[in-house]
Amino acid sequence: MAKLRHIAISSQDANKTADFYMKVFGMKKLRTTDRPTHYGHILTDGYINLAVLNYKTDAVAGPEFGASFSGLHHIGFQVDSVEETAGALETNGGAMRDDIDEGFGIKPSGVKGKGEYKFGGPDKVIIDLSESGWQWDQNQASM
Amino acid sequence: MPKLKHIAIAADDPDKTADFFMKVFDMKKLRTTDGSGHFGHILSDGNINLAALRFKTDAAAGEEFGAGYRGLHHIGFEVEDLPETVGKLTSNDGRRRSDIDAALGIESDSYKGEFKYSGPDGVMIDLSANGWDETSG
Repeated sequence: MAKLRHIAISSQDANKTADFYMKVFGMKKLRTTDRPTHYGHILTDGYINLAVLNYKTDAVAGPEFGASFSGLHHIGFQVDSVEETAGALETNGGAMRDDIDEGFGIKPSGVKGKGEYKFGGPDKVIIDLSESGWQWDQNQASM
Repeated sequence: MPKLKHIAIAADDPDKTADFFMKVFDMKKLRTTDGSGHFGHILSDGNINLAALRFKTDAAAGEEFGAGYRGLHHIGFEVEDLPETVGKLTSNDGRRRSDIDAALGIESDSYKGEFKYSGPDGVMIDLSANGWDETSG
């Protein structure tokens, strides 16, 4: 069964926001990410992977949000089969976000492999799909 | 340790949105809610409680969103010690949303039930000592 394991916040100050969730809710920092497309911190409560990200371009944030957006940005489900879930998603009105993948420098090639794939769902909600899931424990190898 | 157990979507059509998450991700519908502040469906994947809600008033949605907003709306943490977490929230610039509590008919002078705060980046955060339905993980 699919499991909601990932939530991402788009922040203009990822350090301050990550500190907030660590200080107030005791979340643990798993790692810091700094790429040409985004900077931020990956946190966990032991089950949910919470990413606090400062997107550096409108394309990777999705043009409907833009890099300046602050707030809840997307959610992610770990699924048994990305291909099968992608099919169900498209049958029910979802669409693959090739534009965002391209912003990350990923050449659209359909749902092949074990990566993370972005889809648009109802109510403008961006949904990640992943078979391998997201890191949720400090003892796990980075996923 | 507090656990992130709840996420809410402000939906244009909660029936359609709930159907989407049930059909695509096999989420289970726990109940339908129809109060003065919102109508919607409460779903679960066994660990996380997902609410697909159509807010009926700007006050219930929070004035910064308004009833017409569509998208991810708020998250919720289950906490063991509500007064302690409230203290940490307050000392870290969290802001109690008594305006929304009032619009939803939540008693503001009790530490029972669910309370709304605003955190950084305009993210709305619920606190609950009792948690949400079917969030056993």
